[in-house]
Amino acid sequence: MAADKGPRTLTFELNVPFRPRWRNVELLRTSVLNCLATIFESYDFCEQLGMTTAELLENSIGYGMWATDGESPLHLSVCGDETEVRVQVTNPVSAEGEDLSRLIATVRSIEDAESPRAAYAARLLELSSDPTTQGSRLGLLRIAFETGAKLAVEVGDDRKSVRVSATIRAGSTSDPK
Amino acid sequence: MQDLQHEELTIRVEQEGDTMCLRWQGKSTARTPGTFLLPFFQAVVNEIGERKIHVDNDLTRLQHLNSSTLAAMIGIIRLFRNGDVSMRVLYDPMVGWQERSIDALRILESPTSIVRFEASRGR
Repeated sequence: MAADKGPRTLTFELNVPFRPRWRNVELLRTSVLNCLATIFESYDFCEQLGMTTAELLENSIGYGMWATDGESPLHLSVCGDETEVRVQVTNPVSAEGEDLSRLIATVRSIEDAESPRAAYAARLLELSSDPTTQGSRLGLLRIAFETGAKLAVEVGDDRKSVRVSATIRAGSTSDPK
Repeated sequence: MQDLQHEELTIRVEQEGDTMCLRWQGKSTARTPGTFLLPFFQAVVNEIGERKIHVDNDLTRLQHLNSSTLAAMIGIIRLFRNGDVSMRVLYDPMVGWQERSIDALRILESPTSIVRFEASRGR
């Protein structure tokens, strides 16, 4: 991770192309967590972004459209400054696929809900009342609830990106070291 | 009951009087954790049967869990309700992710529920 701490601003950026293998999720979660822990004081804040990374990667590996050889790369980007951290995962996707529609619907459900907590609670109750439900679809809801971050989806050229932007509150323990 | 070991997750089974303690250790990051957690917890419910034993499901030493494990936890709660076996889910309130994860799951708890969530400093 490149970090540049000038007299007034601190910026950092991490870009990793990698293969859609499940074991990479935990490797990258801990990598992001540890990189951010060198920058920010609050370990809990860094853990939130590590969790965010893992949930985005799990979604991409689980629902992305992969070549049969499994070698198509995912792309993880973590960047930010003193005020915001952005985690973005990009992967190939079928534009007409149900998974993409569900992803967009989940992000909209968070935007439309009274709060991220309400959206998350609704899904938990849904899962609780219907044990036959396929796929938990909790990842993005968990991110929104546990981090309070903004989620956005961009689709184009058979690829989609999910970006999570977490704002660092002034005066909080998330302040840079 | 035998301990459960799967990838980086271990659940140790300890019997302490009328309590069966299930101590989660490591990380729960499997892709489909329900496939091994639900049979394990069904076996716990079956083992207890009619006996007056309650279960402490102790997450305090767990380092990380993914949302698929949270979904499996909903299934585990359902197993205990169906089996009429009481369970406490213990978590460390000083660990941010544990506090937040359980805070969300509390929506599944009712005042008369046999499944309860309790803060504990197990570390």
